[in-house]
Amino acid sequence: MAKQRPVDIVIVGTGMGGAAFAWQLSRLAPNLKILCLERGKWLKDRDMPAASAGWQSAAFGQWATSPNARLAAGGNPWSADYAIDDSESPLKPLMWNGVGGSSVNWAAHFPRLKPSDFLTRRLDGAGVDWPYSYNDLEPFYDLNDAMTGVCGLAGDPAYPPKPQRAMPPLPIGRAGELAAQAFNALGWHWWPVDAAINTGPYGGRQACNNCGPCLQGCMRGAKSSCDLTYLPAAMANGVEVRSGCIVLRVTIKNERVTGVTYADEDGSVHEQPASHVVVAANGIGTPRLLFASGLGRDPNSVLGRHLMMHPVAYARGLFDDDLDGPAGPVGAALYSHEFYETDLSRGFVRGFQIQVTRENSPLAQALRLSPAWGPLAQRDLAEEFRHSIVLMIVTEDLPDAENRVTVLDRMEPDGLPAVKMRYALSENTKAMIDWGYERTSEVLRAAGARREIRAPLPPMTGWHLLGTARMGDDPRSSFVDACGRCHEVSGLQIADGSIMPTVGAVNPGSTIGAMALKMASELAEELA
Amino acid sequence: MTGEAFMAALVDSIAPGGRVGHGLALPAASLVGCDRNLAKALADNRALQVLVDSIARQAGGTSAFTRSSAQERHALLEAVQSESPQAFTGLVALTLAHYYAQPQVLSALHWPARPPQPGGHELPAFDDSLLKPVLERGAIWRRC
Repeated sequence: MAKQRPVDIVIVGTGMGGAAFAWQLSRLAPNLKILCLERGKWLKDRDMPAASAGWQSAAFGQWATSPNARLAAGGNPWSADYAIDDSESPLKPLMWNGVGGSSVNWAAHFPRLKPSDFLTRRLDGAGVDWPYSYNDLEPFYDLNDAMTGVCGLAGDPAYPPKPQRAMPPLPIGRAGELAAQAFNALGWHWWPVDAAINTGPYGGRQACNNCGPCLQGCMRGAKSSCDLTYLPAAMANGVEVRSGCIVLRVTIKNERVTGVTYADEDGSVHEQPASHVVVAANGIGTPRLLFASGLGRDPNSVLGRHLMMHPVAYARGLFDDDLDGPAGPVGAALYSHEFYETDLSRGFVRGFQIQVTRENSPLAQALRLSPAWGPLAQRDLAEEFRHSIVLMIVTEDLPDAENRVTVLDRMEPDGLPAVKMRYALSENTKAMIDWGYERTSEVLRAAGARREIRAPLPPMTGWHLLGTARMGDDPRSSFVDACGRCHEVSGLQIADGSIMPTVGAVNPGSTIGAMALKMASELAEELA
Repeated sequence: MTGEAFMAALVDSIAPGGRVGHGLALPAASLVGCDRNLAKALADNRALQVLVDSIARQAGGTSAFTRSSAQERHALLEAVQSESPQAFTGLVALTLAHYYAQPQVLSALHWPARPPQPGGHELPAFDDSLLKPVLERGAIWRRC
């Protein structure tokens, strides 16, 4: 095993958590030697499918959002994927395992949590409280917005005041306007999304031209991803990014981290001494690595437990009018937080958001139909394509110790143990979806829909892999403390969505980045 | 066992085209080369070859399949789908992936017959006057 020159900090993973952490630490503690290890590669020449004739089918092959689907298609050269046993989960895990992490193929919807999300136990008797508040995180949300580049509109009455967004909102399209008018007719809240997508030049990147398939990566670079934002800035500060390097274990001696062991692209194994290790490999990759490193072995350990995924349900309204089709960033146009907070008369605790998203490619919509073939399928597609509004009920997922990530007694080709996720919907979530569907029906009726189609729990929606190494003050019920420091060993920190004790009902990218900036600031202060 | 007419009849059972409503008329799959695409794919895909052979066998031969009515072919394929759902899904996915990539099909759907980039799509800028009632209602976030 080759021994590398020691560094001060090793960061495992270059997604939103790892990249933001690296940048913040490098600017606040410029004397530290910081090394990022990333299992996948840099995207070469923005080599993505949006300009090719096969752009639609790519979403089901090498550019699928699911690592399992990419592997089944022969793999993607930039994403070093590993198989995930998802046979006991109705939601399938989605991620990107290359430089920039899942910001490469995310939808880039960039909402914040709300103050109440940090206090669900105290306010509503559900979940657990965070060890800090919205106010503690707020300055880091602002910094993260500035670094990421956020379009949107300040003044949303569903949030505490936020600074002016750097760019105007995304166009919401004709479908978005119809939905907005319906929300207005019902007297319900709605607002155009905060998105990490350029609507004008920002950060040296050009504006989005509404091409649509953000989930296959943005070849134009208009969608913010960490390989275009935090990482170049961190590297300018002296951070080294070593890609194609799979960390096999965190090395520990006398309950103190000593570095990591990793395999490079050629399969050669290296020992990398470091005083401090930061793991940011997402809610599956992080517990997988830590289990492989011998952590979380106590039967009472919470490592791997409390997996939260924001189960979603779709309602599609069909209209006679010509609408937009798959034009505009696919993830979201606008949202309603009318039902975000607890009202126990609804039959569940906490709440959900309704996102108005966009249509998919003709192929994606055709393959989703049932039946997907024959004359009826083509009639259904003609009825739907360019004639639909898509509403997505995004539910708050409360922590349940039985929803978990574990490792199995066999090794995968990448040198780490096989990993399995087990996940089941709670009765609270089911009640939320049922009740939410009544609300989306109201919206679609108010918008003048001719017909409504429901798609409860589509499997390929497991983007948000959260909570599996949760943060808290008590080592018996949490894996890391408020600064992300592991209770079991010193010198180990976690800086991704794994540490979120609860997850609200919004996309987590913005919060993961803000948490990482906060933790890096605290570490810089500690090391000063 | 995989004659040209049989392949055309098979893919046309999956995407028959014709007048599909909303004033749209779609081409049949064989008119945009899905039959040739399928024939090419069979060479490298053993599971697909087995499935297609099975379809022909259950129909009483490729000619019998080709001669049968659209309804009879549909019923036969439904039975095959029940027996071999995974392989049949693969056949449908392969056929539709080729079909919906064809410029004639995209044009027939009134959608640009080109990839999303570099042209993108035009959408009007957000009209913030829509937000008037939302703003008039005032703050709704939960103070705590």
